[in-house]
Amino acid sequence: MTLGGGPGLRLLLAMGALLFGPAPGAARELLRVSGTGTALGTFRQLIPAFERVNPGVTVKLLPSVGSSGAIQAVAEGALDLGVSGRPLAPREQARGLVAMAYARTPFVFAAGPRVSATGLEAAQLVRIYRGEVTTWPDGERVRLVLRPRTDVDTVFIRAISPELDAAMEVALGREGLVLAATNQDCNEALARTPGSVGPTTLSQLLTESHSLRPLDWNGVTPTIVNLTSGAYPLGKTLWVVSRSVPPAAVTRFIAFLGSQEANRILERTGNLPVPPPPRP
Amino acid sequence: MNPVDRVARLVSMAGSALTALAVALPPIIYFGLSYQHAAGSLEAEAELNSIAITKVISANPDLWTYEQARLSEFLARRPRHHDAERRRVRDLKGRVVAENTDHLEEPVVERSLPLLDSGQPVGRIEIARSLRPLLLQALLLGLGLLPLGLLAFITLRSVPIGAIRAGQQALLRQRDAAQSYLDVAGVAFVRLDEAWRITLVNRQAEAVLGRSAAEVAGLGWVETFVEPSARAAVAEALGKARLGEVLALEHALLRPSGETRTLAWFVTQAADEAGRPGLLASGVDLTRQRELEQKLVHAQKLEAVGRLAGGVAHEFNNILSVIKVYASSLRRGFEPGDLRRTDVEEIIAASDRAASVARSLLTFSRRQVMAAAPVDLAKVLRAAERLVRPLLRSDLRLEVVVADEPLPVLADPVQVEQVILNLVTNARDAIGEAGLVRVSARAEFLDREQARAAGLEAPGRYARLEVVDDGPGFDAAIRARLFEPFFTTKEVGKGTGLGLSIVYGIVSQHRGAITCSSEPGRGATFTIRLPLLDGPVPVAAAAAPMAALVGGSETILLAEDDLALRQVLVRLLQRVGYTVVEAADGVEAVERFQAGRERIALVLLDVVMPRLNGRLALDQIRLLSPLVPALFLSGHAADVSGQREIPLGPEPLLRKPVEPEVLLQAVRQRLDGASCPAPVKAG
Ligand SMILES: Nc1ncnc2c1ncn2[C@@H]1O[C@H](COP(=O)(O)OP(=O)(O)O)[C@@H](O)[C@H]1O
Ligand SMILES: [Mg+2]
Repeated sequence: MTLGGGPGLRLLLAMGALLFGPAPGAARELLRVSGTGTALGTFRQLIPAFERVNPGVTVKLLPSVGSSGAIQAVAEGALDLGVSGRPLAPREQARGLVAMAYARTPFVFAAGPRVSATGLEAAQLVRIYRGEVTTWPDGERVRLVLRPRTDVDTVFIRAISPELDAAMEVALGREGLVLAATNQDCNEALARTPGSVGPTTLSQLLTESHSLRPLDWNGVTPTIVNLTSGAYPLGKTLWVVSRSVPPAAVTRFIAFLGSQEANRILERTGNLPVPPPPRP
Repeated sequence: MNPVDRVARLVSMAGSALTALAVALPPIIYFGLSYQHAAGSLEAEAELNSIAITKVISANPDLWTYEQARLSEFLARRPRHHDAERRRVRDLKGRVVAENTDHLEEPVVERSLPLLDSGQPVGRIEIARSLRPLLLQALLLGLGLLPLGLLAFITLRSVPIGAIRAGQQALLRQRDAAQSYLDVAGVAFVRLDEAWRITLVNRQAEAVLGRSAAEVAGLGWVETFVEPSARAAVAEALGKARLGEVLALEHALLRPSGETRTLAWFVTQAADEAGRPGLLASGVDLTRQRELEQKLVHAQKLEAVGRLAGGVAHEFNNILSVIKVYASSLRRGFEPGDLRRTDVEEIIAASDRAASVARSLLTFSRRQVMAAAPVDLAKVLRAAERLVRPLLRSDLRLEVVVADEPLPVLADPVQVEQVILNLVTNARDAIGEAGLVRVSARAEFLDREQARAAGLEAPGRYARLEVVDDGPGFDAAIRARLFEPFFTTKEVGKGTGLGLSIVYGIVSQHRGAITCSSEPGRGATFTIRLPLLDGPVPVAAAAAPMAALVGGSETILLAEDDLALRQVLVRLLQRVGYTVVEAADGVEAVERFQAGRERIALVLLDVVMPRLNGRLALDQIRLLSPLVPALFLSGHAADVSGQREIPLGPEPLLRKPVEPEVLLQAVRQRLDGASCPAPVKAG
């Protein structure tokens, strides 16, 4: 959770950007942004706010490429700023990338159409993943939507409990389950599929217009309040990734993320802003 | 190489090729089809993936290469029982954008398709699979087929070869069978090659040629086996046979011993087992048959000659009797010392000589009446020795070898003596200077074969009389004519040519046979065989002494068909006081006897007469008067019906021409009751 290159350097860069940034009327700076699908809805609201206070910068939000794709694209210069659902791996840090957590959002199990259930117990979910429970209490078939093995969400679920870890292994080996490659795909699949259940985030639920029902986890409703209080235990941290020597516009955007306005937008979109690291 | 081995090798090769094909072809076809299938399904998969990936690209043309999660998820979609695959997405620079890889063993088959962003290539998708499982399956298939292939090979190879070997065995058996047919055929088989050299002979041919098959193989037929004088003709015939005719040919065949045999062949063109042209000849040994034929022809010739000579001699005999009777009567009319008496005596002497010739001819033609009785040939031979010795010069040695055993034969001893005399005389004449004549007699048994070779009809026990000399001998040409009457090689006046004719006639009449053998310069051998009697020989009757001219007053019945002779005899008998009743044949004789049987004291009968011969006439007369004495008169022993001999019984026989004194004496003796005098000897 620290920026590579040290805070001094970061400040210096920020200052330089302010001093030597392109003057108004000069060629506009282009900021290419993409990343995990969970965050894109939020960013669609953050970017106009940022552009209003940074008229010389045009932010281009590209279709989601997922956390890993974004990290790699940043490393290769195809993106200026990536949004990730996971921290950088050491190998990625070694490529001169830095990441900063900017928000947490409740990790949610959501249900699709025709599901009358409103909550899930952890043990129940284990049995669903294992294929031991195949119907909802009302008799509707349970249609489980999975994410790829390496995906951040799969890793997240496995980390919840050893039982879920083992159950996930079983589920990944089961035939005929819906596998959604991206967060957007997953939400679309959940919304489309009757009796479906699968992982998403509150932020994504709030920013994408799908009729999905977030399920209570062990009786606790996924809300920012419950996450903040710790009553809701499942929180997913979101990160922005940039090169350690980023373009000025990036620095500015990161700075904007800590602003009042940004925080308002984040909270509105189901995120609990993470305060920037204390400056030394 | 043996044709069966060659076929075996061909079959083995064909079998191996077929087997290799049967084992290798299915795996190859399997591999080929599977490869095509794999390549096709790879292409289909690449196509499917490229459709999905193209959607990702068009949704995010700038960052599609970072859509690893999505791309990887596409690439990871596999059929339930998928083969190991390597799936890769590359960008235009060839960098791997996403991949989903199983471990692949070399070699691999790969298909790739371009990824398009609205028609422009932006990357590629590659899908690869290992060929190793396919290769392994093909190999397994091949291995699985191998036992089947081996089975097929064994069947393909051993079954036809077995059949061929069985066929060869059958052929060999057939050949052996054919060989045994040839061997048992009783015919000589000879096969010649194109140059008329012997390539094959059967057992019979070995016997005929006098050599083994191995010895004759390769020998030229014409120059080795054909008698020189026949070679040109045989070569010409073989040349014709080569053109396909079946030719019959007969030639004298030379044997290693130097003797020749007469062979009759059928010759035709025939190829051997290998298809080489040549000739095949089947031959029969006709040597013995030809010899017998010659003998038969010879005997028939002698028979014909004998018939002619006998007929002539018979006529002459009667004429001579007339001459002699009138001459004798004439002589008595002249005083001794009268010159005319001397002339008449010359006439008598000449007619005696002529009568002797006629008698010889009658003997040869076997018309001479034979007084055959059981005699011991050994005794006859010893008696003859005394007769013959005085004839021989001192420088000629005569050896007489007689077996101790008795040699009983039914013979006229006088005639047998004649035979010995003639043969020894011939030997003496042939030898010229010093030499040896050997006469021997012994018993021998002849089987059918030996009997036939000796000219006899039946096998059995025979007395063998042999006269051997060490003179110059004679050649085949002389030998062929020896027994002909009047055949002589001696100068005029010395030889009559009747000696051997008489011998032949006598021996034949005794139911015997004579053979001769000689080679020029090596002496001559005459062998006579007479049938041996089973019983012992009775004591021979003594010869009757000669008596003076006698007459009587009794009545005599004279039966004679020859009118001239009958008149002579009537006059002779009447002159010495007898009364004569005449008859011209046997029937008349019986009638006259019946008419005057009280007066007739004796019957004098010619043996050979028309209507009824003398013997039968006498039998009928004896029915009327059983004790009437009788005398036979004969010139020959055959009657007109062709019967050779007329058994005469105990009645005395007078041979024509008869001396008047002898006739009158015999008549007187018969009237006086002298019982059965011995037959009267000729001249
Ligand atoms: N022992 C013999 N050796 C050689 N030649 C013989 C012998 N016997 C007979 N011949 C031949 O046979 C011929 C006929 O013989 P043969 O009938 O007795 O008549 P001839 O003695 O009167 O000539 C004789 O002339 C003689 O050539
Ligand atoms: Mg003579």
